[in-house]
Amino acid sequence: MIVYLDTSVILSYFDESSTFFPTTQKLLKFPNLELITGFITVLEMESVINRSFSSLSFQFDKEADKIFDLLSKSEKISAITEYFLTHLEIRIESTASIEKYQMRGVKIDVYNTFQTALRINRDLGLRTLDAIQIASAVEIRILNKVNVEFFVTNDKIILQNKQNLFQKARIVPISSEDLARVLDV
Amino acid sequence: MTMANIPIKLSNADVKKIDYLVKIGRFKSRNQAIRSLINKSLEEESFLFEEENPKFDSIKDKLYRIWDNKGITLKFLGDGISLVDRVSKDRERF
Repeated sequence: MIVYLDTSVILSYFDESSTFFPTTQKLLKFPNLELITGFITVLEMESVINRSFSSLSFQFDKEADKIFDLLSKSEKISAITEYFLTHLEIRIESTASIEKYQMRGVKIDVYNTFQTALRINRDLGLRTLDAIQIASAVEIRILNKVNVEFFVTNDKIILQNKQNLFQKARIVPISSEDLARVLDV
Repeated sequence: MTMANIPIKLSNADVKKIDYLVKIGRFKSRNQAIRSLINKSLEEESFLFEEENPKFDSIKDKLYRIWDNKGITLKFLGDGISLVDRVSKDRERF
């Protein structure tokens, strides 16, 4: 089964403060579950870790602590993000292509993911980053022909729009708790 | 600093402007003028050329081996909100 992971689900695997920590610890290591996401997730993860950096306490042993301190702050953030994604064997699917957007007869080159986010949002009025994440999953399904069965998120607003998102974009949002139940994790 | 010779073609109009800058004493020569103007433009794009730590990859390899064996999790100090809640709050702001 192939599932697209929203940023918060990946972070909750490592974040002991999250209420979803116990479930995602089991879920994201479940065999036969192929994990994918879009590049927007890398951007969002680095951004969130960066701004929370001073209040984060990393739980690892003293040897790692010494090595970690050889890195600058930006290198630490990049190393952590890369590790989170690669440790869970999450595949970043690229969907970069250019489409035309017409504005008063002038055609502008725009990234397809932004164009799809715009189309989704015209009907559903989601928050910008929600729409970009969902558009990324839609583009992976259509452009890369990847059979994305679920969009795994713990975001209440996305989950509340489950029906509409399926009707509009053929994407099925599911919480990590519900997916764990479906898979009997 | 080692230097490389790069043959470039400039429009006559640009050569005239460079010669004028040399004539009024802004630069000592055409060579210095062109080099200085290129340097200035490159400085404006400096974020594209940030020097990478040559040891970054080897440090990451060591770290990842330890993290793979012994694990890594995060906790919050004080009353910081969890990363997961931060994602949600950020999205509210867009």
